[in-house]
Amino acid sequence: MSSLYIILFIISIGIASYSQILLKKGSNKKNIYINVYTIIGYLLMLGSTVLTLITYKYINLSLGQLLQSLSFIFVTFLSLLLLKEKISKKKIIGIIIIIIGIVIFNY
Amino acid sequence: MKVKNIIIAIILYIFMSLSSVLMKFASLQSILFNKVLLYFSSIAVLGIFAILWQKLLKGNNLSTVYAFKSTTIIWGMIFGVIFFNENISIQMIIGSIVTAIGVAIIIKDGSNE
Repeated sequence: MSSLYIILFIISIGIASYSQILLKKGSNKKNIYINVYTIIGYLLMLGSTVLTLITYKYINLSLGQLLQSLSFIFVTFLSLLLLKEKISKKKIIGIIIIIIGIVIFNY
Repeated sequence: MKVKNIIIAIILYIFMSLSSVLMKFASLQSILFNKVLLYFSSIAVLGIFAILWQKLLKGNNLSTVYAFKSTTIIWGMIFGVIFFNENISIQMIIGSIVTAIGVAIIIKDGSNE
């Protein structure tokens, strides 16, 4: 069922978004290019591309590109959770609108 | 934003979409060699994007340039039709516009921080 692959694709976006958080954490280390965070971050990024490779067989390109917008949502929430960055009301509205857009796209 | 930079930003994101096109082509290959070749081509195009991205960022605000990321939704639909025989429906167009508005709100808020 293609909805399994849509979920997997979304997971790959989630992994890529999480890797961004790690890279941000890595930028605070003494060596900003090579440290635990950047190494794991780039490995996860690589893993995300492999998962994308697997799932794109079953997903339309147009849908895939649209779902990339979820990264804005993931990064925003992960930044809140893991980096203690704040979310403004405007951002929440933006997130809701993105979700509505994705739902309409798939109607 | 200067016209020249706008054009560069648009072209950059076309490259980003092309990277996804290559990735999808890779996923459809049954011969492993072709699959791996296209996979690495996709990553390579992304690499080129990353380098040109840094150059473009040098002279421009991140939020300004990042706003163009929404164009990848359009390219995704166009390339989907051209390369993969995908359909475009009115829901897809409306959904893309709404999503782009949501993205713009988040980016605009990010630039006000």
